[in-house]
Amino acid sequence: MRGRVVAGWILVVLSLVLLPLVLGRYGRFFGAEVLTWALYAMAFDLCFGVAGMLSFGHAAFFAFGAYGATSMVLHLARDPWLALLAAVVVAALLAMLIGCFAVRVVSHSFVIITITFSLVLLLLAHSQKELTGGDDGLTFPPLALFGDVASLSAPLVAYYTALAACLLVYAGLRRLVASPLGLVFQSLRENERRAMLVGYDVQRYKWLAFVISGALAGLAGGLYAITHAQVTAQLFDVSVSVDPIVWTLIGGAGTFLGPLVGAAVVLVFTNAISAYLTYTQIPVGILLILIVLFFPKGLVGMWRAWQERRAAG
Amino acid sequence: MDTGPLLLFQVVNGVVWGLVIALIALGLALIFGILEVINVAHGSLYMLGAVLGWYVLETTGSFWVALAVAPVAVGVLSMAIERVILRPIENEKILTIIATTGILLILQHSVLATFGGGVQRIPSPVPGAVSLLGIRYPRYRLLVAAFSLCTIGLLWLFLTRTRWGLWLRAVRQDARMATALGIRISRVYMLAVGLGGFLAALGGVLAAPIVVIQYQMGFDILATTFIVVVIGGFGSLFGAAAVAVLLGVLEGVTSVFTTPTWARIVSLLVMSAILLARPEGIFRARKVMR
Repeated sequence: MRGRVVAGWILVVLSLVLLPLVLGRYGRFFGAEVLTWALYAMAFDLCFGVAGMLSFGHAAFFAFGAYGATSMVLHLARDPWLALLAAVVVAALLAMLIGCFAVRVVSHSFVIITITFSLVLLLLAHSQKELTGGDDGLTFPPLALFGDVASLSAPLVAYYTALAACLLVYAGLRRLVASPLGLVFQSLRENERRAMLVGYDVQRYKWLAFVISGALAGLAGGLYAITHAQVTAQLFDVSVSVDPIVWTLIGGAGTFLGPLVGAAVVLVFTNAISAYLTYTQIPVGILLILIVLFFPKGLVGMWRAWQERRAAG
Repeated sequence: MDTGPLLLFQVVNGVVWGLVIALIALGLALIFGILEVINVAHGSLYMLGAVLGWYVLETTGSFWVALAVAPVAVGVLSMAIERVILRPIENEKILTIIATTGILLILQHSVLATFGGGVQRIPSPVPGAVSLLGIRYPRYRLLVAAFSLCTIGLLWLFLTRTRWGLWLRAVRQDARMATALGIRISRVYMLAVGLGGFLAALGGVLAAPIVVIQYQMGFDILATTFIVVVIGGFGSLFGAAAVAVLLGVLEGVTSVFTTPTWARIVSLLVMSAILLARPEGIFRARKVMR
């Protein structure tokens, strides 16, 4: 069984590596885009699927990461690695601040607090146009990965950068969840009171999960910035907060593979039907409701249940 | 205008807008109180009310017909949503949040597809202004305030003086006991969601001549009503109404001294602070143990 799982993984990674060979210029660019959003969805899943905190405001971290990377490029150093570092640091700092308040409340109030903070930042982003560039945003000349080699404006480079980031973060998150710390995170979701009675400082662990999730969302934002060479205040929009919720649920929460698959399925699906239908969010909404009604564990959950049934019988 | 009259104008404005928010928030609080469902699509129902109102006004030419038709239509739609989508998952609270997110997407983008991404305005159905303590104030807005107050009063009478109201309150207090006493919970749920949608859409039609109508207008109201309902105390319907008016006045007064955007930011931050200090809301006695 284990050998087959490893073989399956090698096959998946290999096909993702080889995929650009069969894609055109647009396909590669779109692939990089999908991987960036998938990374963002995985970051969200740590907060929601693993630690059980439904954040309605993750756009703030994504956007902060994107603007952090852009500020680094525009004002300090034209270096993509430093830009990504700046993205993570800025988003982590924001998550530390918001987390201090958010983890003090539970369930509904947590949802409200995250909405409120992201709304405040959205209003600020659209009003401070000299800082954020408003709807027109800020742009910078494309960067190259190694000195002058491998310009990030080339779709192929963007694709492999995003793929590498995605795979690294996926592996890291899987390790994290299997570690003792990850088990504490999961206990917060399963039974917070019990975790508290066993002796864990629940609020501190929630804060930590929130900060790691926010920092990784910032990394996704930084990746978005350096591959697009442009950021706009629209990254703060409510819809950017809603998207990872949709992707995670459709894929299957708490699995990291789920958000990856969910983001890919939804984005490819909307991209495919956008040729025939302008309002692609309507079928996405319908899909979301159907998933909730009939397959509440998402696509990955369905797949695993099917595998278990097959193994059992 | 110097500060004094302007301040008064904004206080009155805050009360009027707060009463409209109160209507919408009462709908949200009703749905939450009875089903324990956080209706993420509530802002979209408000938006739908305004948009349907605009369509009815365009076809019939009468704002009053719109005020009668649009809320009822949205109420019926909400009942259908409860029956088809929410009922199978009413015990899975997180799933209901996600399902209503799906409804939000469908409603908002259906309106975008038919109504378009642009903005529309409705001329005030009652033009003119009245003199009020030295300021001129639009007649229609005073009417809105009176109408909202009457609606809130009628809702209170409905909840306390009728059989259905009694059932609603009984289910909110203890759903299992209510079932044991023979109350048909599924009907009560449907009524609660229908009434909630009706109130949201009523707020939408009333607000339509004051604000601009566009497909994203629900987002903003959603956050505001959420905050109002939580701070009012999830248990207390009329606590939510009181907080709505306070929030409206706070925002109005702040906007005298700064830009509307900053007024909004200040009010959001003040409300968050209250929420953090009293997570159970300000109108609800703290329970010793839950």
